[in-house]
Amino acid sequence: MHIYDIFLYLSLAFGFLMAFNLGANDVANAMASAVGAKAITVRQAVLIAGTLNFVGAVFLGSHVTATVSKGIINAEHIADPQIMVVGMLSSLLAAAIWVFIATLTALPVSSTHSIIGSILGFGLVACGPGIINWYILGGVVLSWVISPFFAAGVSYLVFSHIRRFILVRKNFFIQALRWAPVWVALTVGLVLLSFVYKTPFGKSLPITWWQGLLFILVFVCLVWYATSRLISRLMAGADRSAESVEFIFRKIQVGTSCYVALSQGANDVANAIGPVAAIYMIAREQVILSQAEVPIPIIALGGVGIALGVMIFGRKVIATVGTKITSLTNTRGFSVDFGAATTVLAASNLGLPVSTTHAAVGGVIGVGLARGFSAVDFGVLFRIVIYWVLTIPIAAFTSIILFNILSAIFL
Amino acid sequence: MMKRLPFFGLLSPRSPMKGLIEHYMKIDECLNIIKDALECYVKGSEVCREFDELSNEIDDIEAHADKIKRNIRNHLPKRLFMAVDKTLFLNYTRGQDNILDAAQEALHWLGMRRMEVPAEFQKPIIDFMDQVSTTAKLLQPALENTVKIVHGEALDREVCKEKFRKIRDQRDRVSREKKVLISKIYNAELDFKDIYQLILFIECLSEMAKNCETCSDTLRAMIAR
Repeated sequence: MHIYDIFLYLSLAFGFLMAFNLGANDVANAMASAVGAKAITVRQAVLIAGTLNFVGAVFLGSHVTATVSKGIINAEHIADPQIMVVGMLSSLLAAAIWVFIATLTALPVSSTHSIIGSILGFGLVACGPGIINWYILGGVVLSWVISPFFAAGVSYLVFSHIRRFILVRKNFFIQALRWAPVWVALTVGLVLLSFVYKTPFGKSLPITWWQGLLFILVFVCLVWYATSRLISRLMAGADRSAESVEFIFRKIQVGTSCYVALSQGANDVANAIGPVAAIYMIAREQVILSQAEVPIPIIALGGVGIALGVMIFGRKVIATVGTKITSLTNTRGFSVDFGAATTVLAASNLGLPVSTTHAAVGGVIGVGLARGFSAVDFGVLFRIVIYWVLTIPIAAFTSIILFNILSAIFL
Repeated sequence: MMKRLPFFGLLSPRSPMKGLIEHYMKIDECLNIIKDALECYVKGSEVCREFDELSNEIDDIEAHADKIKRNIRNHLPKRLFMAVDKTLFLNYTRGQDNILDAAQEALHWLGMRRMEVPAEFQKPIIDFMDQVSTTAKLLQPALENTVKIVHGEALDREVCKEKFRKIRDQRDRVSREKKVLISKIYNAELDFKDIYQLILFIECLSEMAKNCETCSDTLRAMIAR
């Protein structure tokens, strides 16, 4: 067996482990609001997250995968492909270990931070600061700062809208029937926009951009009409109470949970698959390529890993986090989910690997600022941010240690 | 061992608004004791517990309520962001505490010295106490409904506003009756000390109703759009 084959198998194993941890930690956190608001059961959350993360990873995820593997490190600065391979292996393992510890200790750290921190650590120790593409890294780090704020902004606007146009109105039930289909249509529209314009499948469709836009608009109108009819029929004879309004949003939250899972699959698969893809390229060509396509089977492996992580470990995390949230109603949960998923999907389309956990925290803060929660403890936020910041040096340091160990074995 | 910190820990597990209901329940306890104490005072100590005993009980309840209030106010984390404006919340706790203070003060004036309440004023004073008690009891559903609206468990603000209106109307009734009663007492042929003592007792009861209305206004501001 060739040494590169060993590297490839190892990377597949470590990548799978990382994907598994993603499913256990990030995905579980993202699905918790829907479980907490009683929109879906733990079993449904596991099913939705497992399936749609896979779909998101395979059909929407290839963009980001390219950024993590190729963007952060200037591959041409590494003369020996084996150093790159060992570095990526160390990065994967370091990130997987840290995210696993985070899963066990319920720390809301980001898998995205972990993998980029560990790649950074390996890059610095292997070839010095010159190898790091600081410009791209700066953009990625900036996106980490922007993404919680962006998610908070979206969630704030969504909940403020719901509050202003539904919750405080005299005819709140009628208003809910009027506005709920609009939110459903908007969600579908955002997913379609990303699907048609940003995925390889969408790009391969024989249509011009305005035909695509027309198709999306027509489809969104159809969704709006169908949802209006469906909700009106479903709520015929229902009490005109707060519970009925929450019931409508409870049903919609099932959809937004899917939205979260889909966008998360699109973005987060890169954290596990980016380094695997880099190793795969080297194993196949035995040189470091500046540009290469990430094969679908490798992305699918990440999707399967995430799905298994959700099913085996995430189930417990979802149940724990979900049952702890007692103050989450469906209108609030919907706003958190919509803000988080829109942020992650937008970042995914821009090729920026942001953290779903960060976006979800931003979503909670946004709804809190719109006075959606009885009490938000910003002291806890401060502690969460400290763990976010600590993730990078911890992952980098672990990666450096592992790189030295693996170098001693293989190089 | 690392601290467990699930990110939904951002949401405070217990709403400070629930503490207001706990604090209100002390007012409810107080109302029953003042009624007992008043009847005891008017009819003499043979038919009920000693006035001093009741007076001490109300002091204990007030002290306990004060502890609850301090607990609510002092344990609000500095960085806590609430569904209602913090100033409104703190004003409400003060308003509710003032109801209890006025109740304690009322009993204090009643027990200042032993006096015979003339037969002609016995029923009107007990009726007045009932009116004040009704005002305070109307605050409970208004508070509970406000908490539900703030927590998103209820949406019908009109129902809640109707509860505030009831408090306002009741407080107007108390205000009118107070004027009539004070006028009657002032014009009665009584020792001036007795007049002074009774008027201050009635003023304190009226203050309770006034504080209930202030609390109701604060609750109204909490659910403003």
